[in-house]
Amino acid sequence: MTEEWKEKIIKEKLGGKRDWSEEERAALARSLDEELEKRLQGSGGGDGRPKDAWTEDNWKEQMAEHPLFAPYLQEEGAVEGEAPINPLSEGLAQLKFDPDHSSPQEVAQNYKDEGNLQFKYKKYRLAVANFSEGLKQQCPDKELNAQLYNNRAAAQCHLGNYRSTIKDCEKALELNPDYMKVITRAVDAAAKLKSWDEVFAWCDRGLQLDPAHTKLKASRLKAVKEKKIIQRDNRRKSQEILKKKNEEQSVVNVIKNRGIKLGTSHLKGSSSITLEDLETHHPAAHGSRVHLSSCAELVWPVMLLYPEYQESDFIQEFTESDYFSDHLEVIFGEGVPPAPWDTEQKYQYQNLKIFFEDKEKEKLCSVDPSWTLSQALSDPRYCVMGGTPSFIIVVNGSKFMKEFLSKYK
Amino acid sequence: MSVSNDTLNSLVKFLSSEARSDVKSLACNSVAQLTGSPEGLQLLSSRPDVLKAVIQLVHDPDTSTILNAMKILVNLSAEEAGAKALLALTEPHVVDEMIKCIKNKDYPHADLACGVLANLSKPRALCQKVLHQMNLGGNRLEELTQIFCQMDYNRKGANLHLLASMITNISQLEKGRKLIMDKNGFVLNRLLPFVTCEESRDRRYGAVATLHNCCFDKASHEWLLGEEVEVAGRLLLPLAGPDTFTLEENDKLPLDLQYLPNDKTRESEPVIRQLLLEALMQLCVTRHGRESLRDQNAYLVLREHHKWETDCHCQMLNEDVVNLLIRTEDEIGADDLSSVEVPDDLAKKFTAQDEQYLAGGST
Repeated sequence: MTEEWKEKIIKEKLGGKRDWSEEERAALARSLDEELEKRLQGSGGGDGRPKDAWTEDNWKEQMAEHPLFAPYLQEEGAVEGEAPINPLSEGLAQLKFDPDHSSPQEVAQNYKDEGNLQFKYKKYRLAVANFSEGLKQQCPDKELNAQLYNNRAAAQCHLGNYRSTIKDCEKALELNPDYMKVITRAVDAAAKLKSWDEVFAWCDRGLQLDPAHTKLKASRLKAVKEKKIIQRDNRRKSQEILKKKNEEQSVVNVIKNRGIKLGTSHLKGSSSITLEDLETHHPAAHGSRVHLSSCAELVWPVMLLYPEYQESDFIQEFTESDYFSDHLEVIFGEGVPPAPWDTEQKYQYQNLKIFFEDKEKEKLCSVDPSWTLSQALSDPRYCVMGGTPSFIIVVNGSKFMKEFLSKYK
Repeated sequence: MSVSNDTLNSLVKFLSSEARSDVKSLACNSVAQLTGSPEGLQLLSSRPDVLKAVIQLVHDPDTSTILNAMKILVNLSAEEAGAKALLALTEPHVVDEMIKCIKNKDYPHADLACGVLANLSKPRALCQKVLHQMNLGGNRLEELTQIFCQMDYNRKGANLHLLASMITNISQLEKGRKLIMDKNGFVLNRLLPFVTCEESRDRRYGAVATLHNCCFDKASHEWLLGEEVEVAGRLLLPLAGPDTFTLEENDKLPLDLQYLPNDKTRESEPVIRQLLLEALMQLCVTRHGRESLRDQNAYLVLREHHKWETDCHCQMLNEDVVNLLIRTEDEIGADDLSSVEVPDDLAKKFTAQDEQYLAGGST
């Protein structure tokens, strides 16, 4: 190198002249010195020092950025890629990860080490990325690849990506069929997914390697039990659904047997009635529906309408054998405080008149208070609309009643 | 057809693996025909050289030769003398060769190989030999059980159902039961689901019969009744029909028996129901067994089963179990019922009563 350089200088500066005088030599030395000085000044900040040299003012920052001294990892929460990449770090990274500088095996190993470090610092996403890069090298070392898969599975597990965990475990086990750690990891991941059949299968694979493995035996037992519970719950659920369906059917049958006519606001020709059609649409009655009591009697939700005041009452459970008078007495009986809208206190139990509407003929039909609900409902003129029988109540003999009745004639 | 020793002498040459395949096939066919008669079987049993050649032929490339060789082995092993003669050979050993065939996923007649093993293990004395040979190659019972559990293991359509019979035969032996109930082996655990296997009567019978035999091991009752096996639920499930219980009753039953669907059917074979009830009876021999069955409300299931049962023998067994379950331990007065000495005259009386019951009279 020095010889070459000497030759070059001789050629450039002296035109190839070899035998020199003292003066010539001194002059050359001087010119070289000057040249060097000039070069230093041109590149430096003027004080002859390189531009990126550390100064007393900036050494702390410089040191923090230098890959040798930098705190290896960013603070928790720092956004990756935000900090400018130090050229020295980049260089080091190139040495470590550049396939031109290292064999695939070395690069894969380096990625594995890097990933493990990230894992240690709970940077699972970065760890996954590093292990993936390691695998991309497709290095011929099966054991190393198995480890990379296993480690990536572990990082994925921490991220909650259990399906990916299991996939990586499968691959690791393909490369190394005796890898017990991988099996227990897959068991854990499958248990997190509550995929008990998988837990079961993985336990069996592990127990083939080590029949006395206590953890796997316990997991297997748990999987069997969990599966039984799920099956039991499913059986119970379908039984409940069936029971409900049967109950509903029997309600519909009883209604039919009683000869009660049902109408819905959206009559669909002759299609059979389901209980859904009987769900009341009244906001106050939400959720209540005709049902059978323990003595096989129909219990209806019933609306009482007071057209005079455009008010209404809702009776949640009006058993078919109940008398109208019973319910009216509860609402308008003696000693019962009058409804807030009944400012004149006219609505007294004894002087009320009950009607229902014959929808077909658009007529009012009178109901005697001594009737049971069932008597009213089985009247051929009665039709239960929207699953909720409704009755009109007015004060007997009042001016309003006359007006009201006249509308129907 | 009568064949002399001389004919066999000439046939054996053609049975060797070096023989021309068409000749070999014909020779094998002739030997197979011999196994159709008792004399033929007897003659073959006395010819280890022929048997040896036949065993080797189960790995022949020609499937028709394999089929004939396997048929010979099945027929021979069905008779105790033939089975004995086969097991007397060591090189090659018939058990080893059969296991090889069963393990081979592409073996065309693996079901016949299972049949040979089932036949060989039937007589108690020979079963010991089979088990011994199996153990020489590691815990191969466990390996075979695993294969048995994979329903589509054989790719040539063999179903391997008969392995269940072999396992049942092995469960006759104390040593066999030890292997089957080995806590690190999962042989029994793997068999449990087959107790309700609808696809195969052989599998169902085999699983139930093995469980039945294991229940005779009083020392294992605690393990059997524990959460690892949950034998009570397993034995009761085939006896349980559609759910008729209240919510509270359901919650006290073993998990598998809770909220059974309306289309749940009971075990259709009286023979298998008998085994199930006998197994429950065996569990009732120990106090722990009785208490565990009471805790799991076995009585409820048996009560419903009794209403449904039409087979006399099963009804009687059911009543025997229920009789023990509805009594208190004070009334029973002995922890281990097998230790109770029954005087001869009473024993005779009981047997007579049972017979009368079975004949349709009342007890």
